[in-house]
Amino acid sequence: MERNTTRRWARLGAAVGTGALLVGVLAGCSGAAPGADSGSTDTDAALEEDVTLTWWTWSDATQDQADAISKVYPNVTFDVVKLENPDAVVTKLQNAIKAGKGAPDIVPVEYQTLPQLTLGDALADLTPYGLGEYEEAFTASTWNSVNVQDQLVALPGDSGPMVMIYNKALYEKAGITEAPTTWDEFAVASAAIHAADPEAYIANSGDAGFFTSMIWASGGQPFKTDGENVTIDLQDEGTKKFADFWSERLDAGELSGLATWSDEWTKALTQDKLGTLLMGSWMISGGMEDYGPVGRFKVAPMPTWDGEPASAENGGSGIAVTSQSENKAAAAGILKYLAEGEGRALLNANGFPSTVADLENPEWLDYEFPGYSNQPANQIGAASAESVIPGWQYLPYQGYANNVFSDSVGKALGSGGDLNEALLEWQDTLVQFGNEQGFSVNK
Amino acid sequence: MTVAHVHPQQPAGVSTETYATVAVGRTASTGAAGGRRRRVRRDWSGWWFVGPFMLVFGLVFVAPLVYAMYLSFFRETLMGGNSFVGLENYAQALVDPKFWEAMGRVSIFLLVQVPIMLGLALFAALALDSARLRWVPFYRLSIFLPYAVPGVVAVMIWGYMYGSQFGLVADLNRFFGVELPSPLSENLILLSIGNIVTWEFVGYNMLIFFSALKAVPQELYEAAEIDGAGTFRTIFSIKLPSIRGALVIATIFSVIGSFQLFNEPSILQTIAPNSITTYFTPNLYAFNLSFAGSQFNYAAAIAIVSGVITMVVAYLVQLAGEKKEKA
Repeated sequence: MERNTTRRWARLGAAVGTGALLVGVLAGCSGAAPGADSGSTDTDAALEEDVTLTWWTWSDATQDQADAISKVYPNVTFDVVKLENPDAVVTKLQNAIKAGKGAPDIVPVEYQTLPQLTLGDALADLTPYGLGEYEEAFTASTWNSVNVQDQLVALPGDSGPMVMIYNKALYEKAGITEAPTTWDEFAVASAAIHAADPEAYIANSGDAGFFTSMIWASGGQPFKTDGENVTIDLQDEGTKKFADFWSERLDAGELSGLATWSDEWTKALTQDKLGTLLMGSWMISGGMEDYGPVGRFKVAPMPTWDGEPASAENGGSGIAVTSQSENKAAAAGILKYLAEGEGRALLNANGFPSTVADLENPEWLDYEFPGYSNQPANQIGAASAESVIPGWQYLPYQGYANNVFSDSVGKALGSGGDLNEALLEWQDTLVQFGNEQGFSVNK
Repeated sequence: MTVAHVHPQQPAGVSTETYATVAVGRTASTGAAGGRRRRVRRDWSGWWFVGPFMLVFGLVFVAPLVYAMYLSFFRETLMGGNSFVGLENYAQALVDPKFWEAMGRVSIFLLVQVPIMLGLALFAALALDSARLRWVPFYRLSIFLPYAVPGVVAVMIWGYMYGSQFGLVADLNRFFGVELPSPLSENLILLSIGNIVTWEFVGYNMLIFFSALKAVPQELYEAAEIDGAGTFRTIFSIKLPSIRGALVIATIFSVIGSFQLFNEPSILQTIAPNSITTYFTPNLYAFNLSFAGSQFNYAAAIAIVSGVITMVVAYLVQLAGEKKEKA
């Protein structure tokens, strides 16, 4: 009896051992080097053949877009993988690039992370596939964003020229009947709103993406990259102008500390406690009806410093092909389809366009949004696209910069410190990081 | 892979399974014969039993550690490529004020939160064990319930309650007409996290203590009663000494838990980004270094240094526990 038991265990042990071996062998197989890209740049030919393209995204709309494209190109199958947000996509993509495998074929990339991913050789140059010919179709600022280090690394997708979406009723309750057109008027409105209702604020103090866009709109250009040489000056005129202005609001206790997109922030909007969103134009059709009844919100141009319209891009993203893709030609072919006509219309259904033709399309411009009590709000976004201040650059490590923003500037926004001092602290961190990473920063 | 080579004399053509069976059978008979030849032919069949475990152990425990150590000796930069830097990452970690600030923070957390949590857990366990409560299973389950709530959900629930403009704190403010300080402000965030962790883990520790108390022989209580010992005398002279082992174990778990604090600050960061820095705890620091800053190598060094510190502190706690036991 005893021996039987022993024997049974031995058999089991052997079986498990063999099983484990098998797993090891299988794992070894999957680790084999993947077949390389054919290297062909003929996108039409590539789309004639059966191909499966993996498409990572953070948008709910991508699956529908992929289904629609599959109808046009029946040989192309899409494997759409939805991740929670843009940061998750960047992190996963960087990990795949580092691991040498696992990256998708097509991936959306925020304009602000393009330099970082380009530097990490994560994206394919689209010039050989003939995508450069679409330059004229796009706004100067978005085309500028997708051209990084002399490479065309993405096709512009949506864009985010900044606008001001404000709660008309809340402003009126404080005696402000017209949307502020200058920052001085904004300051007056800010004080009035908080005085009329101590729980109401004109805006929340904001995050890194907001802060950099506001610096941009104020004429600041704190980041300059030329190859390995990076210059960071978070005390240039425009930066200081905005930091001083925002410090005054902060010191007066007129800014809400709620984090953008948090539950409490949503509640503040729906309960008339948060007056203004300074955001990219994608927010115009971004579901403002969720935050209040028809007519509560209106869209206005960004306030200006001197009466001259000045704006910036806030968010927006392009569509890129990864350097690891084995089907670059086919993926680039899909991007070509998305560049104009029907394909572009698919993209524009969810977001603010970056194509000149669409921005000038009278039908689109005159569309009266029921949510803004029939205001043709796209006109304001289109005007903003034209007044985006040229010359802005993001850091080649903007993802890191935005991450550590909370350690210095965020801290000051939270507990009311000196913003200029905090900006310098942020700058020190960024200079040190850049130099450690092999750039030549501020040298 | 090692499994296949464990038995060097395996004849070709004989299946692994049969051979293992035969080998074991032979061992049994050799043993019966008096084991004279045991020295001559070393028997490897034991490896068939521990092999699968060792394989998995090596794969999921040893390999990641070795890989982290390997990583920590290099420095890969965005522009300069990868280079061997020896112990430079460790040298940098040892003088990194951010790392030590994080260490200091979890140390304070450890010194304040752990005694409170274990004290509450012990009190609850003793109360449940006192035989003076009705509905013991109900209380036991109620106290344990928070532990069954997934950590992420727990933090979100608390995050909502902490809200000083629309959460429970806001409601309290309005109801009583007071102005409570915001639990999510920079000054109070650590306390708020301590509160969440205590809520989550009191039940778990209570269960450890309670089961240890259940194992105390009834005879001891009877003897104590005959000697005229009261409730508190019984607690201090019988119950607590009997569950010392459980106390030490729970303390060690809590020490490790404190040093590894990650989930709570990481999730609260989305609603209070300005109160929680990227180097709030050592784990959060390592996470942000590698995933936001691509500093995988330095993050590995940070992880190893904080792992070693955790081990040392946990070991000291164990030593202290054992010493008292002997005394």
